[in-house]
Amino acid sequence: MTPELLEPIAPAPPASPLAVAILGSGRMAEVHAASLAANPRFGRLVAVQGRNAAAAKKLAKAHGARATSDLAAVLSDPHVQAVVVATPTLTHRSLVLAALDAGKHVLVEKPLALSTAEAGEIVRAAEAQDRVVMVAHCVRWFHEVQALLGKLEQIGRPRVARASRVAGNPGGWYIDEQQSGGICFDLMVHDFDLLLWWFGAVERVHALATTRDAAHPEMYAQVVLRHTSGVLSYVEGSWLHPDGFATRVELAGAEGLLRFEMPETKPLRFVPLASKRIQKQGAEIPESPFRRSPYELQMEAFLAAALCGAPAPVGARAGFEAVAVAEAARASIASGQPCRPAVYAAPRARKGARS
Amino acid sequence: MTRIGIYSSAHIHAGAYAAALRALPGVEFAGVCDPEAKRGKAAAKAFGARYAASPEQLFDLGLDGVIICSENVHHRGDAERALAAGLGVLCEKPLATKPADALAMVRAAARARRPLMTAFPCRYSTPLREARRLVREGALGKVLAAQGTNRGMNPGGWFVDPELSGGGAVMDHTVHVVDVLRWILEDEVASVYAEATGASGEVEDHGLLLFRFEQGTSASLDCSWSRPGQSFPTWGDVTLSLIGEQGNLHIDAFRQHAMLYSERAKKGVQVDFADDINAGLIADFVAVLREEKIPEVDGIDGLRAVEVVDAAYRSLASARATNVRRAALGSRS
Repeated sequence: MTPELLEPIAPAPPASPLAVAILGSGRMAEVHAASLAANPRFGRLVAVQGRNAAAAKKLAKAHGARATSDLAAVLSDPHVQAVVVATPTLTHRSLVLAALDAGKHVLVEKPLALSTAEAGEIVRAAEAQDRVVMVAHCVRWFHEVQALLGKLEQIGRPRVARASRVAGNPGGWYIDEQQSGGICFDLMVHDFDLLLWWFGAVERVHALATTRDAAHPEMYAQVVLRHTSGVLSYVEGSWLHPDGFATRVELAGAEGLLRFEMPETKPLRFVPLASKRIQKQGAEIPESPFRRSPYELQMEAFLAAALCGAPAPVGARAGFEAVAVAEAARASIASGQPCRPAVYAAPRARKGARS
Repeated sequence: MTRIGIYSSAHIHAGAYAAALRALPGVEFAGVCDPEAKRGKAAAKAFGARYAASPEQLFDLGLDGVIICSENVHHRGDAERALAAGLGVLCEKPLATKPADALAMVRAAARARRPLMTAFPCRYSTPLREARRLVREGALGKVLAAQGTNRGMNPGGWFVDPELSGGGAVMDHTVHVVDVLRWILEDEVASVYAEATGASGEVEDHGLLLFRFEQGTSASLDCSWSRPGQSFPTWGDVTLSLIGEQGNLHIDAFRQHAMLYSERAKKGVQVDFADDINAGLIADFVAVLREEKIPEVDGIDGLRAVEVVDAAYRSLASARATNVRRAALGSRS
């Protein structure tokens, strides 16, 4: 399979932009609100719904939208055409299903859900509805990743891929396995998605994990994937790197090598005096200056798909597959042996129904 | 004067060892022998050394020790012959292709009461020694996890002939990082999970390994021949990241280099200014032959690495994480 570059879709400007509500008011909600603001022809933020009333109000006010804590009111509002689910992963299943049930298009933060059982429910609901469900695997839109993809054929037949994504302890719900699924689901799922996209289905997963903190046993993990295509992949994920966010991708083929490292690709490095350094809380968001940010391009793709009725570039099935690899990695960590990722089983046609 | 010969020039490292022998004071590089006479004569000429037509002729040059650089499957026979002749042996890695052969070599050295060293030059890397010092001093606390790479170019030739090499990238490149980890952690590998692929079907040329050490440390290794031969600026790498309870340590053993971009070369090349690890290995072998010290790295270290490689191949056959089978040995004398 040859993955294709994500060409920006540029439909004719619609009569009116898509009315979007954001569920959640945390860091990613802010990023999605800014990305909507950067795509004014295709979308506009109309509401922010969140449990944290002050944060929701602040975010809504900054974008001229309304704030509410009432989920049912947002979903039953016929003017809201799409929702962005930017809440802890634990809530994804119920929020996506409710939004689909209300006829909304959905952009849901990664990972799609906490298990393949949950993700499968979402895929079934998405395929039963004529609505876009897109999973925000934002790394696909990273300029570094697009640059690699554009040269993939130059390295000949791909053989071994290495991906690394390391950061400090994000704290909060991210490291609570009940809410996030832990590092395999929350962090490494980015790379699982990239590798699935580039090298196809994974037939075997083996993983080892460790921690500095007995309460959170999976803070660092190393995962080996065997793709059905014969490509081997290695993924490192860490929340034990206090020196900050870094990511590397290396693709070795029969005739060449492709790689990048962040932050080495960042063109600016500002070094404030130690006393001026701000200790940021929560997950770090890698940023390099571009006219259009990866998140903005991702939002454009979602809005364009919803407006055109086109399939989303990262649909619920892709979200399921990444979750399946994360789930198999955790099962392997627990068992000490390789595991096979779950495969999505389409619901069987009902008796008497024609296929 | 310590007299040393090189037996077989099959392995490319023979040239580096020859250069190190020449540079050492009080050492006579006595000669080269090779079962392939043409190859051996060319090597002797290139090294500026005498060519001996047979192992007996080489040993008769009054040698104290011999460096064995033959194809992997010949290591055992070549080492046993030299040990029986009363010579100390430095054997190219891997010590053997099978644990039984490596064990036989260790026992032959004990019987002959002669030193047997395994050529693990990373033991003499100043950056890696510094890493070991930091870990042994407790700077990292307990090491929880390690990420290693030992990637290189496909060496071709007999390396891709399983009858001579015993295997591909897993056989060639697993032992270095396994030895470094055993040495730094002072721990043994308990189990191995391996994945590998081969382009030609002859031997695997790419491999990814996961290890669990006895004391719980988890580790990974990329042993692939994944560096492009024509366009990449260097042969490969040895890197190691250690995740510790008290901090992380990142080691790029060959980072001490400048870059040269010359119109006379088709690619940028690394200009190394690191301490010479091969010179360190050869100097240690000489000191051991002079009975000034015990070896930094011996045959048992070579055996332990071969036992891990054996478990990796058994894992490849079964697609399961596989326990390492370690031969029981008496304490080191």
